[in-house]
Amino acid sequence: MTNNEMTPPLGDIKPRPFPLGESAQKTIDKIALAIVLYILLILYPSYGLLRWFWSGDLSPFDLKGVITALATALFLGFYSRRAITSRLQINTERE
Amino acid sequence: MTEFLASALAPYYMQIKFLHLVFAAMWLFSTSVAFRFFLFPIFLEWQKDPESIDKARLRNWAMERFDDGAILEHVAFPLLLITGPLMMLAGGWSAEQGWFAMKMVMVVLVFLPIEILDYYLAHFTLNKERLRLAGDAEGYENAVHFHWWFLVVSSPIVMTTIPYTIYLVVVKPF
Repeated sequence: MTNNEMTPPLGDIKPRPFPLGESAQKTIDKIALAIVLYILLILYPSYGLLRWFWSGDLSPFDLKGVITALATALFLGFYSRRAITSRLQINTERE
Repeated sequence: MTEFLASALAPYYMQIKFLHLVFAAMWLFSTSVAFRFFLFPIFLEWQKDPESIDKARLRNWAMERFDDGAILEHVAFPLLLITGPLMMLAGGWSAEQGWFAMKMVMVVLVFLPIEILDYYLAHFTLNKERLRLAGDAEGYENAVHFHWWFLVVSSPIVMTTIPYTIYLVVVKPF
């Protein structure tokens, strides 16, 4: 079986290249920032409120908890930015 | 009602845990090899030469296969959502335990939204094979783009949160 017999015909599908370079990087930066904010404003408060509601424990909101949440959010933001940039290959040279 | 269920399920805690673990194993990394070693290199090659018809056809084939490949993951996930609460009841777990509260946050606010979008992309409106057979060429290309962005954005998230969740349930650190 050849590649052409196995792969679906393109028909009217017109493959559109992914954006490369600066515009793609700006989108990725916004995504990384959204991940940081999601951790800080949604995940971390949800955990803290769940603990407070269930057992009256407010320790997730003490200084250690805030620093841990901030460090985790920043780490995940930077890691995601790096991983997404690398996987989208926005610096790829087109043939 | 909750107390009745808890006492009825308690003798079967280990069996429920066994099922939960099997489905967790099925869900966790069932698409990772397909993504990293098939889909990703094919997309990379196409990205270098987006005018190539052969590479575009191979890209589309890989994407359509990947939609089907997600079936294992998407069968396991709802079963996890059933066995998880059963384990919670049988084991008497609650958000009083910090690790459990964090796991709930991960499941509800990280995994659930990702999986809902993944179902939509792979099996429902944005299933690529269905779009191709319906002759929706523009919808097909848009779906491929959206799915690729989704995979690329969600992969670093799941690569960190899934091991973290396993750590939480195994080590129960807080």
